[in-house]
Amino acid sequence: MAAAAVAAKAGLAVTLLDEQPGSGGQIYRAITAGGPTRGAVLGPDYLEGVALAKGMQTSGAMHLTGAVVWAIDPAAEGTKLTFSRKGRAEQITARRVLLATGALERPVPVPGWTLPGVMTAGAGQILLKASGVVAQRSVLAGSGPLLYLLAVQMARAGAPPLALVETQRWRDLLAASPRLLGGVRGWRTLRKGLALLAELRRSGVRRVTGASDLAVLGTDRTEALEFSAGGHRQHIACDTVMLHQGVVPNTQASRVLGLTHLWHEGQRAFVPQTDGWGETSRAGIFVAGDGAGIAGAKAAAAAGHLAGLQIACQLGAVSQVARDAAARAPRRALSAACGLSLRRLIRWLIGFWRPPTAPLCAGAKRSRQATCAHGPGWAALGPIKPRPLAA
Amino acid sequence: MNSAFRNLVPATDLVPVTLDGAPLLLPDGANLAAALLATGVTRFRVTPVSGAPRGPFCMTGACFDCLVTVSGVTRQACMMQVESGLDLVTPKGRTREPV
Repeated sequence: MAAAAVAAKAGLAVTLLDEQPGSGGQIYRAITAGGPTRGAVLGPDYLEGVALAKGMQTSGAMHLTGAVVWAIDPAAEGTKLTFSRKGRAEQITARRVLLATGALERPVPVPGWTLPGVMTAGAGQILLKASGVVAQRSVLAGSGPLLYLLAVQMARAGAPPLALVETQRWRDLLAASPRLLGGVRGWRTLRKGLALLAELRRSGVRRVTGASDLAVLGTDRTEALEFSAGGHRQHIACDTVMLHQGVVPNTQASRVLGLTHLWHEGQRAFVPQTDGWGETSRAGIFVAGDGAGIAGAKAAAAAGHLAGLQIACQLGAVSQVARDAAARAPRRALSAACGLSLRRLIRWLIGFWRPPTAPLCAGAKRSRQATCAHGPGWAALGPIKPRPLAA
Repeated sequence: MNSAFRNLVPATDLVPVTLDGAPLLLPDGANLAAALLATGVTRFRVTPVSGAPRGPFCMTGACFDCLVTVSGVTRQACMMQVESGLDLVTPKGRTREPV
């Protein structure tokens, strides 16, 4: 939204191919649709998206909603994008392409995770944000700040989860303590995180930490969550289990394009390599936001702003001097937002969040900057690893 | 049994659809997966190979677990909006559709 607004205001013809039915992306989902009740439940951060959405809508950018892009073909005369919209396939050619694919939740396979009633915590939040639909008897399980935020939002909506089952342990907190230094720059985020935890405590939601061996029980729907904690096996009957182990960049489009990706050890994920403006290893293709590495909504808007400026500059709509002058504010915002994200902060406060390591890209983990190598014959299915195509 | 999900505010602008032939009222323009969950539907389909039950998992269009057949076309319920007269069928196990 930020990049489209900047580029369109600079005079470029901009088309925003948006998979969602309305503006807002994943974080500010349905931002222009929700009434005041939803704003109160979801908090002021969510409403920040209103300004972003308005900026985009008044910029002159053409916003095509419900557009699912399924092919991106770079060529000398421009990149051809093929997308489906309202049941019809269409094509558009662009001199510059910005991918703003955002994040996906890291899938958390545990026994029973495919049963109806098991979903990601993000799915639970989307139901609340976009549809005003809330789970009645749910357990939130895993680790990461989204679980606290969602528990608080559900409590505000009058449907607190039955329990918050967390997988991190106290020794993870010690491992994370060097990261506290980042808190100096991100003190506002720190305060926000503390307020969130205080609200969670007041809501009285039961919390279990150090849980392991999670399993969802049921035959054709979710009936309970089972786990080990405090030295014994525990069981909570419920209708819905929301799993979460953080989010990873949604790199499906950037990987299909064969762009250079690097392994990000801190985020335990592959991220596309980008320069300071978001341009990737292929000239003319940019990535901004969580799709280029998880940093959150504020950083994404700043990165989008920078990419929009650089695209406008490359196409001659903005001079380099004007670009650099206009880049100062978003660079500052980006630096402030990356100083300490809410996610990283709570990770320190509660314990260092780390996803289980074993099945994830075992080969690449050994090297800090392994490139994501997959050539013809491999398809990137989902965020985990390349898989050989069936013959 | 109470529904696993409920609407924060009672649904309005209900329009008729059918689910496996049975009439159902859903809020016009709502996200189809969310609307079905709120009416108590949790099992959206069974898988074509093992027949395992599935329901919405990611709600972002990534996982393809919330597939339903809409007027003969298999689609992701979480990426669709409710419209009057939708003819919804839950995919049931091993079938092969014309390509």
